[in-house]
Amino acid sequence: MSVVTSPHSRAASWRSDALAHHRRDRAAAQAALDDLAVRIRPTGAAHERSLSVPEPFAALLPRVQRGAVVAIDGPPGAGVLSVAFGIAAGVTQAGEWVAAVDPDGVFGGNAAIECGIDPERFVVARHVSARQWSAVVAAFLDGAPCVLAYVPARVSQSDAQRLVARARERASALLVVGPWPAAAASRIRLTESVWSEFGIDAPFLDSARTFHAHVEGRGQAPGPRALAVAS
Amino acid sequence: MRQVCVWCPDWPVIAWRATDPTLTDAPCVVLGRIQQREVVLATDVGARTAGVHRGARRREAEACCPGVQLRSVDPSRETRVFERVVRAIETFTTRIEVHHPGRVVFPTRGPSRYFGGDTALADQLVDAVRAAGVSQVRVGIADGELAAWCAARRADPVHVVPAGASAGFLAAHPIAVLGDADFADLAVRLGITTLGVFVDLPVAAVLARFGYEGVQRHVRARGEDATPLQLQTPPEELIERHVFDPPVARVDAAAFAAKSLADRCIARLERLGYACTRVLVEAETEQGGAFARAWRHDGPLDASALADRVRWQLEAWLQPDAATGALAPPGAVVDAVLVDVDAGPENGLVWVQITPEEIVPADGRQLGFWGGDHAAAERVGRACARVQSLCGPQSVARAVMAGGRFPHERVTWVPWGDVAPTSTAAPWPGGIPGPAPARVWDPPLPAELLDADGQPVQVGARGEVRTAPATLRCAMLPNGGGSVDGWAGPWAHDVRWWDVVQHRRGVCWQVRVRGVAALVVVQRGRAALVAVYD
Repeated sequence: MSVVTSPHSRAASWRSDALAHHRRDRAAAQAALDDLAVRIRPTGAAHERSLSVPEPFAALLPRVQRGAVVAIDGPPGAGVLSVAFGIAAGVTQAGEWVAAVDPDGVFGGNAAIECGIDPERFVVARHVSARQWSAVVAAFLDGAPCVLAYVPARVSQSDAQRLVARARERASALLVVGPWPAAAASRIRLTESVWSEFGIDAPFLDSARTFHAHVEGRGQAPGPRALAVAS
Repeated sequence: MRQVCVWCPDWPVIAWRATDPTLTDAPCVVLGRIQQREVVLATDVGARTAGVHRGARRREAEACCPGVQLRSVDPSRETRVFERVVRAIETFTTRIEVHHPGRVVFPTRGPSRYFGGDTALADQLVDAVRAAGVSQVRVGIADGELAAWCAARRADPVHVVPAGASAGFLAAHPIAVLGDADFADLAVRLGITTLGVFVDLPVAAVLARFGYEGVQRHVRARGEDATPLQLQTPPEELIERHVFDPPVARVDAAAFAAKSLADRCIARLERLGYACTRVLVEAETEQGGAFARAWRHDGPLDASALADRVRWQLEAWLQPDAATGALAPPGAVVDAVLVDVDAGPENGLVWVQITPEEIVPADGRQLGFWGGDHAAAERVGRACARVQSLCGPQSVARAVMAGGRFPHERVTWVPWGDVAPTSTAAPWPGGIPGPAPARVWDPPLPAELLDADGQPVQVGARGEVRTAPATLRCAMLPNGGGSVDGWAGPWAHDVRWWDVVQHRRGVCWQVRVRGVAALVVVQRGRAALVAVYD
């Protein structure tokens, strides 16, 4: 026995197919438009006076001013590098370049990318000797809108002050990680970061953690902050 | 204009054979990247008879010809070895142009009359190149550079196309010999399969359909030269010179100078609205030896292509292979007569000069529509070059995702200015789960991971826990470490077991010590701190 489809139901199925097709097309067009919006956004943000910091780190520092110094400090393991990468991620997402100075060659590039930094607009000077550190930071301040510099053990106060002036003059944001002996527009002092417990449900380190920091700076109420990052 | 083309087939393979003593008599192929795919660029006779062809994938080559020796393409090595061939040819004329290592072109007018005709010149060229130790050589003589190149491809070992017969000679050749794969593809789909069919089209129609470039191809296909001979000397202000003080004999220093010189030269031409297709590289050594070599490029040279050519040439002069002798000046190029001098630190380059010999109007380059802020990228590039000049070319790097189990393997740091390998963001089986650590030590720092009894933690042969970690000590941790709050793992690994040198066997632990999460690896009973989740 053969199944005969009535012309009516055939037309209906054709219509529903066409409708589904149309919806798919619209969804694809919307996706393309969203993609386009993301891609043209950099040109919009390129000349603003300050750069926004993406969530969740906006709670520590809502915006990075061009030409200002942000000092991030804390013991190893408290999350100083994650916070610095998170703030720098906002800069690359705005279509700007970030140049990093890593004197010991310890930056985890994978972590930087996971924090949201676009590797296409991220350069790192690695294994820089302490003697050349300030010259390298100054050279990067001339060219890059944001410089992320890990401060070696001893950097003189006069060098640091000169770099602050250089950053202001070139309108480049300077994020320094480590003890900073000069003025800074914002200071973020991380005290500790709390990880979730290991257990049967958590057989490995979960990326959810809580940063505890003490924040002071222009336009911000000074005081402690707790910043929970979901996994 | 009548031209001679000297071609050494399979030059990439021959250059490897000449310099790499580990290559045996087994077939050999040279691989390179074309549009992110690793393909065969050159083969030798053995591999070709086994069925390996240009453009084949690496796997196809290995399947066709088991035991084939694979080498990656190395233009600077090719140039270095080709130097001996170029010097042999330089005894015939001074006006030679290196198109790429393996292929040299020069006009025959003077030399042909001096050496007794085209055929005699070609025979003597073959003898000279063979005397320089390169047996595979072919010489073609014809009107126009394209016809000479086609004649060389057909030669065994000499092929002379009579004057005026080049257009007929070229007519039967496929359109692909023009060298542009995209254009050839399009032309074949339009039914234009040979140069003869292409030449029969009216010039106006070619201009209308293919633009100015199409007309230039039409001219070449007719057996004429697309760029007419220019006899005037280039204007002084286009010449770029770099003076070394003190003189350099190190290749990396010379290469760095080559880069900045090329950038300056191209920037100046760009400002004037010109592009350059033929460039003369000159250098002088401390002892007065002068070198000069012309390079030609199909289409305008950009800054990186020019820098590559200058660098290859300087490397060839600074590190000649044993057969040519150290820094022996080519007597035919300049009058400076010098006996062989030792290549030593006291015999470095004093200056390098780039002269754009053939300039054409720059008709612009289409930048990507979403190319981003070009000026910003250039500013960063200049800052990076400045840092590289302070701390060395390896000091500035970009992060490119790569494969590997350990945190430091997940990212390759590619020096600024180098071609980045393809980024592989795909997950890597067997990697350490959890977030990526932000602070990574390569090599790892020495540490102690102890159990409750103060003994190093023990793991069974299959990675099962025998004793749990209780204390982690490392100089880097705050207060030198302390008691363990929590741990996860262990993840056993046995990587590269096929390689004696790189074989690593051990276990990884994620350990929390006083709120600090760290990654510890234990290998051969010794613990080391790999990373801190900072």
